[in-house]
Amino acid sequence: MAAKTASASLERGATKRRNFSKNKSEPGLPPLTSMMDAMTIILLFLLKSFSTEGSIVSASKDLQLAISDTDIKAERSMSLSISRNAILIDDKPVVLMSEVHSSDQLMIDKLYTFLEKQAELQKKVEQSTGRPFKGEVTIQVDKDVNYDSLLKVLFTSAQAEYSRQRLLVIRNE
Amino acid sequence: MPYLASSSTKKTQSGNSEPNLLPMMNLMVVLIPVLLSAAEFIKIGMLEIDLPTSGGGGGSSSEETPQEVEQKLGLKLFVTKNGFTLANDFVVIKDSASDGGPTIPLKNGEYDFESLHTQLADISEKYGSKFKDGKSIKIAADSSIAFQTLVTTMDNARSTKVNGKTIVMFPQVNFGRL
Repeated sequence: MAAKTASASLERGATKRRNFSKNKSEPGLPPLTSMMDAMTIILLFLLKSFSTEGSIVSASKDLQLAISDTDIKAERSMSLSISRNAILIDDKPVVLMSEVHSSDQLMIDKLYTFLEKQAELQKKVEQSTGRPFKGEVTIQVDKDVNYDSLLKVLFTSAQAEYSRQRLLVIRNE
Repeated sequence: MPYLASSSTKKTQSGNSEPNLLPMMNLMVVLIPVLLSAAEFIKIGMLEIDLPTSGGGGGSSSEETPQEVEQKLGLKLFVTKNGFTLANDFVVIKDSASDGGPTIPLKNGEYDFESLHTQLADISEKYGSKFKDGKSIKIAADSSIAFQTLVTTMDNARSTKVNGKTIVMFPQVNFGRL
C-alpha cells in the first residue's frame, strides 16, 4: 500500500515537472529566428572581412607605425622592424639602436651578416621547393625613428640582396 | 518521451513546427565574440621604394646618346630643419620671399605640406610627361627628420586630386643622403 502511494506520488511529480517544462519552453520561448538572421549576417560579415583583409601582416606591438594615404595593401614577406630601441627580424632583436646611432657608416655590419644568412637560406629553399627568392622585405618603422637610421637599414638590406623594400604604414581612409 | 514524439508529429502535421535554434544560437554567441576579438580594425598598407639594383647603375651609359641624358628631370627634394628645398641637377627653386633659404620654409614652426603639394603638382603638370624620369623623385632628408614627416612628404608627392580625379605625380621614390 505504502509502495503504491509512493509510486503514485512519484508519477504526479513527474507529470508536474513535464507540465512545468512544457509551459516554460513553449509559450516563453523568445523569437529566435530574427535573432538568428542577425547573428548569421554578423558572422558572415566577420568571416568575409577576414578573408579579404586578413591578418596577413601584423604590426609589432612595441612600435607605432606612421599614417599614410597609400592605397597599396600590405603583402607578406620577410619582416624587419625598426623600433625605438632595436632592429628586429621576425621579432628577434638583431642590433640595438644605440649601436646604429653611434656608427658613421651606412652599413650596419651585424644586420648585414644576419640578412646575408637569411638570403642564403631562402635561396636554398628556392632550389629545393622552387619558390623564387625575390629579395622582398617588409620594413616596419616606428613613426619617430630618424631618417639616418632608416637610410642605414635600407642601404644594408639592399646590399644583402633585399632590394625590394616596402615600408609598412597605417592606411588613413 | 512518447509525449514529445507525438507532440512533434502533431506540430509537423499542422505546419507550425520550428527547428530548435538554441544550439545554433549558442554557437553564434561564442563565435562572434571570438571573431571580433581577433579582428583587426586598423588597415595596414605599404609604401614601395625603388632602389637601384647593386652594380646596375650606369651600366648602359655607352648606349645612351647625349640627348637621352639631357632628357632627365632629376627632381630632388631636400627635407631639412628649415623646410623643403626643390631642385634638380641644374636648378634650385628659390623661395620668392627669402633669398637663399629653402623653397618652402616652415610655416608657424611646422612643415608646409600644402605648399609642397601645390609646387610638386605644378612641376608634374609642366614637366611630368616631358621627361623619361618624370614620375620619380629623389628625397634626401636631414638625419634627424622623423619617419612620419618623411611618409607625409611622400604622400604629398605621390598623387594629387583635380576635380575628384586622382592624377599620379611622383610615385617612384628614391632616398638619398644630404
